Amino acid sequence: MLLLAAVSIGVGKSWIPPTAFFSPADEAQWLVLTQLRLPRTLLAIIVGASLGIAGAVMQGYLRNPLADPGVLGVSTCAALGAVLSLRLGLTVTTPWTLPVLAMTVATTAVMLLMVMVGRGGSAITFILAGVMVSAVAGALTSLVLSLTDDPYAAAEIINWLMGALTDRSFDDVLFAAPFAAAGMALLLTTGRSLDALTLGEETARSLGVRLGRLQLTIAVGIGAAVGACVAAAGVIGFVGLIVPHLLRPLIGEQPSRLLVPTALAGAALVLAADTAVRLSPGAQELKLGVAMALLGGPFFLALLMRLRRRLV
Amino acid sequence: MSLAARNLHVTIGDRRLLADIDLTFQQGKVTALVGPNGAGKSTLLSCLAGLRRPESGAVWLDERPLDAIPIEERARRLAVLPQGAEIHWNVFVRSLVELGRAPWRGARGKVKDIGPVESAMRRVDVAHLADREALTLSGGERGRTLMARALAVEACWLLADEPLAGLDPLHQLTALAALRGEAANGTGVLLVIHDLSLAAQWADEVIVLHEGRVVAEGPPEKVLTLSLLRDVYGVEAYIGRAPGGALLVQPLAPALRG
Repeated sequence: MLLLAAVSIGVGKSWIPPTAFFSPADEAQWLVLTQLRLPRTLLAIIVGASLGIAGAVMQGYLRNPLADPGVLGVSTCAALGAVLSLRLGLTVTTPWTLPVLAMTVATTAVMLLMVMVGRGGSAITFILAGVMVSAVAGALTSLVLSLTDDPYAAAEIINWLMGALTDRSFDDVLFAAPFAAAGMALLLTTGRSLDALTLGEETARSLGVRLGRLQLTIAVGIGAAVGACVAAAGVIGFVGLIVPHLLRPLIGEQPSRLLVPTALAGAALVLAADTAVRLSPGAQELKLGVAMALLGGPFFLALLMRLRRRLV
Repeated sequence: MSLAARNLHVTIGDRRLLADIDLTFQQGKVTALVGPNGAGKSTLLSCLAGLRRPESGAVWLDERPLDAIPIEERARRLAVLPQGAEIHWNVFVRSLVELGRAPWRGARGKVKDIGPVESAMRRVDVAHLADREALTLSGGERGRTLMARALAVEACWLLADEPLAGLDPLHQLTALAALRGEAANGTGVLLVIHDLSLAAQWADEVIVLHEGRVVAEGPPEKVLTLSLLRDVYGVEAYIGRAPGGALLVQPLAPALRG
């Protein structure tokens, strides 16, 4: 991952060797490095780690390998919060409203899902409810967009919705980092409870797991981590879905053992994808969110096929 | 030390699952809960385990209402093996059994976990499966693994819902021997069981549930009678003694109604 980070800092429309870091002789290179590449790289790490661990926790909690903050509509809800704050023009005067609204709406979404499905609800109900929440949030986002008169503002929102790490500054990093870190820290505490849930809710409760508290921890943790990411980088889907699956064959399926590795691997995946996207030909870069969806969609389908074979 | 149900009532909608349940269980004994399908055995067990709250009445553990005992402490004192529990991830048998030690984590410093885990696996004959993955297990092997998980808790009460389901005759006996061994060490064992001969041979007490009520309780040879089997199960049965003296209760044919 460190190697990837180094490469990510170097790669761009023009290659800058990492050594330029230590010799600030060339002013332009130095500026590009510190003001563009470095924040972008840091953000890729934060976003990837958050989304990866969020996916691992959701899959563990639901005991279903198809869960992911994107699939369940959490990212869409965070985006709705962010778009609302953009539309209302709050971001101009008070920039912190965007991440805060994004996180609040995302947390509410997870809680809403948990309440709707209720205790003992099956993973299928949860996923169906998530798809519905996702659809409603998407529709509301479109509504907000269509009510935006200013075409430039609308274009900006759409651009941001597609998910990208382009032109981020250290301010974005500073906004996202503490919330993402706090969210991830909360999620890391759920490991043992998730392990116990391997045997179902009844057994988990008989082993002393407080399901209510676990739900709250997960809702707040995912809301903060995913909300902060979406606020900083727009909607980047499928990271949380893909990463745990890539790791399970390597380190086993025990939920607690997946948490830290998924954070690391998530960061590596987003770093790699973002670096690749920068190298894509054409004047305009391919959007990272678009690239991940193009990659993730087929992956999701392949996963479904394999699961079907295993279950039949 | 006792576990007691006081005047339990449970209803779902207009269906009564349990009514007027007043029972006291003792440690060091194996109690078998028997009764036809839908009699309320599992409901009673989950009430006793604190996994389900009765509409009225309460469960008392050592003179304290179960509700008043923190869930972590409860987990160390009551081990529960729910019916047909699933295993959701393809994890190693050993990791599954180790989950039984979860309630002790953080309690009174560091607890030795390896001993209880190994011993639990040995007692239900899954020690040789320790490094197998859950998905590769047969139904019976899975059942024994889950039972080892419950044994590994080393709680003073063990509530097992149909722990023998899917086990071959030898492993049914192994499992029952393990439960008897627990009782000999002072654990209170409650199990839901359908095989009446095994219940008669291995349990100290039998409780018969029918339509949510206790219709008989006591030592097996007193409780399991031809007329009770006819009234509760609707079967004609053979009750006798095997050459070694073991009580045999074998249903033979549906009882003639009339």
